[in-house]
Amino acid sequence: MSDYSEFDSVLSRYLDGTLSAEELAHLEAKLVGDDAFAEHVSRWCLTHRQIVELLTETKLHDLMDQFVQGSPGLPKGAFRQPATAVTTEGQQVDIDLAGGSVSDHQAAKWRFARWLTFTAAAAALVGFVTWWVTHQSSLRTLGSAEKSKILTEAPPAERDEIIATLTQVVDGVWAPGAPQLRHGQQLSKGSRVALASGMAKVTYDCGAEVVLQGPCEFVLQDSMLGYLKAGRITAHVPRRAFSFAILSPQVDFVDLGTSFGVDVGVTGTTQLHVFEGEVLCSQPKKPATGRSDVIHVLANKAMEFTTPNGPPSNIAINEEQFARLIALRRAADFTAGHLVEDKLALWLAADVAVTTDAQRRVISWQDIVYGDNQSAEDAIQTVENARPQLVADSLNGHPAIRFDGNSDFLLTTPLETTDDQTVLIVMQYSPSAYNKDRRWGGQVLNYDGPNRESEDIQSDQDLAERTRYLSNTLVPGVLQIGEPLLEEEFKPTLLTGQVFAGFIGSATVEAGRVDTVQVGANNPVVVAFVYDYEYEHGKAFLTINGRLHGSARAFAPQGITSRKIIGRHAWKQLYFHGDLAELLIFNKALSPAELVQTTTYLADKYGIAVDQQSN
Amino acid sequence: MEADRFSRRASELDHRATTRMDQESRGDFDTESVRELARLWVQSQPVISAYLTANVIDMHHAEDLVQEVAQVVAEKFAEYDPRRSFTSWSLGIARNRLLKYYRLRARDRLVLSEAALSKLSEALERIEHEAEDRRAALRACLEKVQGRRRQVLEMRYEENAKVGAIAEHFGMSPDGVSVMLHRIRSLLFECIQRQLARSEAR
Repeated sequence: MSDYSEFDSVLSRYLDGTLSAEELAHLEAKLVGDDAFAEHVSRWCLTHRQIVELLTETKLHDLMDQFVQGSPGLPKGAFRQPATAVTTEGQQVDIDLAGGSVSDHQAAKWRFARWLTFTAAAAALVGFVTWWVTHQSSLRTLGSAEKSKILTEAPPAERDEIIATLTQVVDGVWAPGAPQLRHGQQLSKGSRVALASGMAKVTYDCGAEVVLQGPCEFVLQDSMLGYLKAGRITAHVPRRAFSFAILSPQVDFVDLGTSFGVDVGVTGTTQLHVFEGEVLCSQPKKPATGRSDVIHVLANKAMEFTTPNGPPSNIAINEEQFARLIALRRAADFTAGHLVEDKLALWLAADVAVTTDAQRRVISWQDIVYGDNQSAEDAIQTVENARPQLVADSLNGHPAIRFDGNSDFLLTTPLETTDDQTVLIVMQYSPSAYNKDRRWGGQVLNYDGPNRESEDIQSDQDLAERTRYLSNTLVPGVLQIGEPLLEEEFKPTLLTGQVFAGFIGSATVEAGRVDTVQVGANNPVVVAFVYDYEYEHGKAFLTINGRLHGSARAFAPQGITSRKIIGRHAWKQLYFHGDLAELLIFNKALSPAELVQTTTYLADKYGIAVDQQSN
Repeated sequence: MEADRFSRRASELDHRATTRMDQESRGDFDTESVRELARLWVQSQPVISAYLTANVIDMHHAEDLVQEVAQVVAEKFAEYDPRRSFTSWSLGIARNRLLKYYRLRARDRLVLSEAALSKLSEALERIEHEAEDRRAALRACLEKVQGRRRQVLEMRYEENAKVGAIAEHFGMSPDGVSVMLHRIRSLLFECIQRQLARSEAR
């Protein structure tokens, strides 16, 4: 066996989290390139773990005995270390823990194996008990106040409340000692974003977009609150995030539906420039009155605050100072021709604003800011093996995002969508849609995105707790486009649109359900699903290449702010096999003329023949 | 017409189809499967725990992850293909959980890349059979760690203390603590190798 002792100090520091970046790179290169070294590292990891287990083993056994006291299925004292033990071979052996003898090994194996055969959940129990033991050890060294805090500490789900996503990073260099964030990373309450240089955009789940320019330090205090410690930002706040606030050392800013920039200088001087709408400013309370003054700053105005209690001064608005940050929000700079602008809510195009990794897998598909679509809800995938592929030559020579039907999907930041909806998709199915082992349909688009990433959903209980899963028809419906899900209805490439509205007994309730035809593989199509909600007279219909394929009653409301999933069902592993070139969502039911206009625009762009039959 | 269509759909739809799909995805199984799962888990748990503990500095979080992986393995056991290595399959689940853990937290230390983590899991699978013997040898070797070294070890491993906290407690420099932990681990590693060699020689 080769001697890797020269690496052992590096390994030891890795286990303690004190490695430098250079050392890590050196370690990684060796690990990836040398299988024997990888085994050496794995033995270090095993030893590291076993030290934990052995140092807590005695306490663990005592605790497990307490845990199973009274359990009918387990013998009393099953986990105490007996003076003698009987092996599975029927031999009686002495247990000598200090000596590390073979008999000790057999007894340990017998105890552990016998316990685990009683229940599969024992594995989780071991983890829980060990956690409890190690936690107790930590508590021993703390004061009572700290202990109380830990014992009443929120469970992991609450500690990790996700409130935003890092939706763009441009030449970003993180400040020394700051978290090394990644494009697409979800950010929890209290996350710190500190740039030494470059730019980054944080999109809050409430819809507020904050663009930072390094050097800059910003903390995501809460779902509607950020703290700018130093540096320059712009904030674009949509209507639904009304009262989103930015705090700074000297002044608090509360948005009233705006776009504005804030610059906190190194001396503490703070400037506010309001580009659109209105911002309320509040300084620290005055000693004399015990109250703060509220200052209204309107569009195209700017103000400077030099001292905490001193009067602010009007200054000239300087949009140029924030030009780079403003430009970052726009996903593309081009003219869309005859595209309908009114109530456009989401626009994704594979030939515009797609960020990929080194293997051309899609990290983010950026929402094009255009017309009424002034907030960018990018579609993101941070998990490498779940990223779809950007293909340069797909639909009639145009780029498209390819979903493999096994694991690929994208998730938008929360997007507000209304009861009335129009969804247009330019797509084609892959030949793999006809794989013989497919029994259930895959979805192209689903409005029921979870609050966190979909891997969190492992069961119906998870679903009920963590998403908007419908349990009755009083909850808004979920728009879905794709193949029929159920086995007995499934046909590959059969396009269906509906708003799933819940269950009555064991029957599903589907509003506006329209089944069309099997469009086949490698056949580019322009799909339009229009949902015009009204309880008595509402109607939904679905067209393919302009041809109407059916209509149904649109009797269920569906307005909601949620993440939209592209390429799979909300929580079931039912994936889309095919390519998406373009996706548009309108927060209205397009008129016939608007639908023809938009369908024609897309069909012309992608060279798809449109059926001129009147709708 | 809508009511007729609705009632027709209610009778047409076989909710058991949905239930069956749910059951398969949840992995409901019988007693024999439970025993098989337990047997496989006993074998694999050491390397899975090692994989997670080494790559998550906070041992509380590492234990949480081990528990989560155990739960996912149990729930997805119906999907497990017996022709494939259970350890490899479980380590895949562990790796996904680990990567999710990294994503959900603003990382406060440098971690291995996905490629390196894959290599590590493959290597752990290859040495899986050594786990029990190494544990037994380590038990004996740990008895020989005494005095301040024992205290440092207990503080690091039992109390989940970081290097800085240990240094402050003992009035040492952080580098000094790092060096001490390195020496302790190296000595334990060499002791284990000697113990194993001695066992083989018998």
